[in-house]
Amino acid sequence: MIVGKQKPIEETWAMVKDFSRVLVFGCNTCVAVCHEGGNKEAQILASLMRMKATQEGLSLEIRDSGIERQCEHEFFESAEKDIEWADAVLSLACGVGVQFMVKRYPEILVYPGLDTCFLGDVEKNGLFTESCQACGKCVLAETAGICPVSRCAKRVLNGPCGGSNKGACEINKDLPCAWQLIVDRLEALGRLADYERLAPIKDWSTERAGGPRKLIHEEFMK
Amino acid sequence: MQAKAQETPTPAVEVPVAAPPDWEPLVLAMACHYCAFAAADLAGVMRLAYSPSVRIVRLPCTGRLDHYHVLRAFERGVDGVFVAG
Amino acid sequence: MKRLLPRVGVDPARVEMFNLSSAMGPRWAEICNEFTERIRQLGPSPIRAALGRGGKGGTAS
Repeated sequence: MIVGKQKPIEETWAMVKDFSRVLVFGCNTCVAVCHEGGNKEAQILASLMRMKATQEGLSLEIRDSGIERQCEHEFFESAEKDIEWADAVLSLACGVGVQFMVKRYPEILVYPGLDTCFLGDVEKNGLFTESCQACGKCVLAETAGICPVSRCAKRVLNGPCGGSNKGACEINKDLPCAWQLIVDRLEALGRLADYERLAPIKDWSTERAGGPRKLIHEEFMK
Repeated sequence: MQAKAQETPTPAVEVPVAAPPDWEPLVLAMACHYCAFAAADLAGVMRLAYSPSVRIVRLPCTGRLDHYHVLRAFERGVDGVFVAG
Repeated sequence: MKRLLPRVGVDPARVEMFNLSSAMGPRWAEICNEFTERIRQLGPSPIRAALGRGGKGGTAS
């Protein structure tokens, strides 16, 4: 899922405080899991902003609303009235959701309430860690299911590098060396022979360097 | 990139406001029906005198409490909230 | 909760959680008095003070 983090309230407040009707708009899928941008967080942020408005003697009206996903047309219907009411929307979705709203409502000002951080997993309650870079050409089959593109600081495909030290990465000793993890897992699975196969030069054209990417299913586009 | 969800709580910089002469604290108590609210009831039965500033909201269980309930109280201008259960 | 309030300039000491059983009537009275006293020391909440000045910002629906 996509992991994001709420911007400091001072920053978002500065974006919206001069409007008269502000909608804090939650996105209840990915960013709700990391407790930053769901409908509940929207409710809380709207309340905090109302307290700020009161203290600053401003008379703007702040409401909250939210939908399941701000990156799909289907979900917007239930919130259409709220969005039309507002003259500025503070979206708590990831960058995808914010831009989707901009495309869908070209006449409404949409501001980002989150900093979108990475694609990650819920390692344990409260801990979210990056684990995919969406490079467009998955190498997990060759790397014991552990991704060196996202988990090795250098994205080395034939590792480890010389900076691997007692299982830790040279950039931070609390960061496990992805290649150490790969070798350990191959060993545990009795598949160390796989490690001897050199990875060919990776085709990075599927990564973002080739510009924004698209996936097309013509059969659904009728 | 490291995104830490918890920022260190900056010690509250509440600008002290001069209390108007007739000011009395307004305190909201969120009480569980089965323990704290019963305790408050008992205090009443025992004819104990306690602060008249406290207004009680009875919850079926403190698990019913949401962040928003507390925030909403502050929005409306209470001076303090305590949860008892 | 105690992390949310300071973001808008409200002292986190204005919220507290107490544990007590149904048999603790006297303790209830004590908590009410103690907590009210704490709030008295802190003074009016910044929001109440602003509302008193006529600041009615952020009206919710």
